[in-house]
Amino acid sequence: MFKQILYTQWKWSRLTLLLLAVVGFAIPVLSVRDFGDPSAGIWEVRDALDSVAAWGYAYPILAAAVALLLSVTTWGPDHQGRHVYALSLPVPRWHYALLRFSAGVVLIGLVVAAVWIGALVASASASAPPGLHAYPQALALRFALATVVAYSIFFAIAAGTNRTAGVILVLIIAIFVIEVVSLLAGIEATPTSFVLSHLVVWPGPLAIFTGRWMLIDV
Amino acid sequence: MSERVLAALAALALIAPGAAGQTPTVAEFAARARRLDTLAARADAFARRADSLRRAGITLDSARDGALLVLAGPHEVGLARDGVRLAWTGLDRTFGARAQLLAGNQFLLYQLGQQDPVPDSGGWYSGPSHVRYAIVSVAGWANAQDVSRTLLPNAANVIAQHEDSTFRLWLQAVITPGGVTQDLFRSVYNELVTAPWRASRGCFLGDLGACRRALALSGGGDPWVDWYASGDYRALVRDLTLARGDPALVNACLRTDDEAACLSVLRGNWYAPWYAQHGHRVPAPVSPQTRLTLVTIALERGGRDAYPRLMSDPRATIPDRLAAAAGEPFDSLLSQWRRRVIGAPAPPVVVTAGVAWVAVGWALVFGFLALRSTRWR
Repeated sequence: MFKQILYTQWKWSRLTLLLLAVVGFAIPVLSVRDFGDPSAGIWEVRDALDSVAAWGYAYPILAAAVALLLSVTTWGPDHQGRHVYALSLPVPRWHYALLRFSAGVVLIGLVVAAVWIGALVASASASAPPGLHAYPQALALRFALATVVAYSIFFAIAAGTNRTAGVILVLIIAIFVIEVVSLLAGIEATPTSFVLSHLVVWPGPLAIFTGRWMLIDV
Repeated sequence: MSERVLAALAALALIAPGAAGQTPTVAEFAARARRLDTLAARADAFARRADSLRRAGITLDSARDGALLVLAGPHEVGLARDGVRLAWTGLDRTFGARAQLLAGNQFLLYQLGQQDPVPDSGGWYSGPSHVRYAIVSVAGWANAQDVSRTLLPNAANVIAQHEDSTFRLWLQAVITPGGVTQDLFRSVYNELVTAPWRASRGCFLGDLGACRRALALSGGGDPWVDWYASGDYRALVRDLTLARGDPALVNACLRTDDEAACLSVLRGNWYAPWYAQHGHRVPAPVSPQTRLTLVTIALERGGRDAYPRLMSDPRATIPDRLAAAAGEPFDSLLSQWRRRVIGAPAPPVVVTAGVAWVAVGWALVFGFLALRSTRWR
């Protein structure tokens, strides 16, 4: 059954997924294009590092995009068909959801592999001065973990009822309203900063997104 | 100093020679008259300042430790005293006896939103130059550490003004207690790694001679030759001179890497007059912050008297002065500095086990929530 679910998910998302895999391969390769000149001057080397750092923002964005795409395409056809197909299967819901989740994780591996291979190619092609190092494995691992975390979050939201989605939406709106009121009242500690700090600072769920996404660094 | 004391001093200045039974000459009278004028002006300045403060209803208390004097309003003086105590500890530890150079300087603590009024800064700044004074502003919620942190650079600037020109032109930075942090060493590490000059690269790879050249410490008549190597000149022309100069020479340098042409461009480059005016004809391969880390280590190793030793012989070479300050041979100091820099790279780009396991944990948590959904019920 897992193979069938994996196949259907692949069929639903393959075009976009392949496009994202190409993007995942290209980002690390493009990020080191300034490291081609071994006789680069002082400004070039620093500019090249700045360029790597700037391209670093693309990885978490790509991770979120892959996660969103897979979670939406995983549940989309079920929602459209009012879950008739899923209900007709002789498995409990948790088993079916687990199969869907696992299939999505396997497909994530495709983009992660593209990023990893791209990072390896980029590291091999870049001529960094002594003292700078390439981190293709660390970068690919961070990307893989970030994508899986984001995927699990989007998957949980997509798997929920409309009521769950409504509650999440109301919570976000409430935080936004309290933020605005706090700002108008001159209160420095706003709920947004509180919530964000608990989300992105370790051990928050999005802490993996806030690390250093540098392919080449000291 | 009060007005009365100044008046008494002025009177003494007038009558003292006469008491010795000598007849003053016209030139001596003129000199004494000028001295009296100065004293009178100073007394007048103090009196005017006291009057203006009284009129504005401003009361200032003093917070003093050692030679560090800070004026503050009655409500802020407690904070000022705690801050001054901390700051003086750092100043005394770093500058030793030369911290006494602060005597005669005053700082005014201004805490944003404070209850007590402060004098109008314009009036203070436009006063006579011998009424020395600098405003030190801190946030409304500042504590003693914040006050100390704000005072230290101001006080260090005052002390730096007494450094000899040779040292100041070499260092081009201000030694501040606590100013050199691990982040600065990381920045120096990055600089040694990313700078393309042979000297900085060689220093990073362990050549102490290269470190001397990178830090502009190798003596010689021509810094272009002393501090830089033949492979650097083309990049120097490209990066630093913006290709200004004789176009034929610039072309020969950039296109064929002609060393003589490069040196000609560099020696006659367009900004040379600026450097010459400031005592530096040639930019050093590494930044002032890098040299500051070396000086800081020398002071750390030399203890409280290191800074006075550093300043004791302005005619000695900078390496000799640093060695005297540190109390050890210069090469040993340089090795220590390099070890410290090499040991301070930025945290490597790795995913720690803690971060990885927490990410996996959160993925499982959200995945479990998805399995528990009531969508079908």
